Amino acid sequence: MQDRISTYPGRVTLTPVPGQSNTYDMTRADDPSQPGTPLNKATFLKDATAALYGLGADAVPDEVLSILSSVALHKSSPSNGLYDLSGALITGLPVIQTVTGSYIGTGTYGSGNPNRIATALHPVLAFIRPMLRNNIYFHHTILAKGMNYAVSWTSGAPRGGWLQVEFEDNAVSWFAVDGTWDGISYGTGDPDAEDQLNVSGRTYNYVILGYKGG
Amino acid sequence: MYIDPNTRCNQSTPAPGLLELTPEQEAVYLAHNGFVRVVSTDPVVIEADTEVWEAWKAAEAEKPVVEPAPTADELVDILLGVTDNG
Repeated sequence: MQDRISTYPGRVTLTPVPGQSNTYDMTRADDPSQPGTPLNKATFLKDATAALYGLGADAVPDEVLSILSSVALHKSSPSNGLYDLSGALITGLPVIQTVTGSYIGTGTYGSGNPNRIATALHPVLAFIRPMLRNNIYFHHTILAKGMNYAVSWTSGAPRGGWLQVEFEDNAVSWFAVDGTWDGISYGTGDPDAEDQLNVSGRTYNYVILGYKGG
Repeated sequence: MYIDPNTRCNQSTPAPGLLELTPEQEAVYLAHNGFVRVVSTDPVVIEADTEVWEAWKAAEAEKPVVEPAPTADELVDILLGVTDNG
C-alpha cells in the first residue's frame, strides 16, 4: 500500500455549481508526485477474499477480523501455547509431542512375535534406528500412521525388509513379512530379526511423534 | 527397562500398563530372548518361559544359517584385500 505524496498538501479547487447558492464542486489540487493506493472497497476487502471466509460481497473488513480472532496467536503470549486475541489460552487443541527412548532386541520376529512400543501419546510417526552404526547392514525404518506397510533398510544391505505396521491409540507395533503379495514375491527373501529391527542384544533408538488428548 | 506383560516387548520409556523390571529381571528377560512369564505385577515377578523359549530356539535352529554380516571395519578390510597375514 502506498501513501499519497502531495506537492501542496490539502489544496483543493472549489467550483461554484451554477444555479445553486453556497454549493461547490471540490477537486483535489495538491499536485501529487505519487497518487497513492486508492481507499476503496477493493483495497480493504475484495469480494474474492470475503468469499474465502464464507462472507458475501457486502461484508466489511471487521467481519473477517472477527473470524480471524478465533484462530490468531495473541502477540504477547505469556508462555508456550496457543492464545486467542484476549490473551486466553486455547485448550483442547492437539499439540504434537515426542517420546525418545530405546529397546533391546530379543531376536524374535514374524507375526507371532511383533515388536511394540507403548506410549501415553497417540502416535502418528515413529523413527527407529540401531543405537550403534558400526555395521552398514543394520536396518532402520520410519513408520507412519495410515500406512500399514513399511520398509526397513540400510545403506549397505543387498536387500531391505518389509514390515506390517499397526498404529493403535497408544502404541505402534510392527513385524517382518516376506514381501509377497497376490502370489508375487518382491524379492526380499525370508523375514528375519534384522528386517524387524529386533536382533538379539542390539539396542535400538526410537523417536515417536504423537499428540495427547483428542 | 519396561516390558509389556502381554506382548513381552521391552522399552526404556514408561507407559500405562507396562511393568518395570529390576536389573536382575532384565538379565533373565534378555537371556531368554524375551520369553518370560509374568507371575505377579505388584510386586513385579517374572520367570523364564523355558518351554516356549526352547521350542523357539529349536525352530530357529532348523532354519538355514545366514552368514553374519561383516562389520564396517571388516568390510573395509575385504575391499582393500587385507588378510590376517597382512
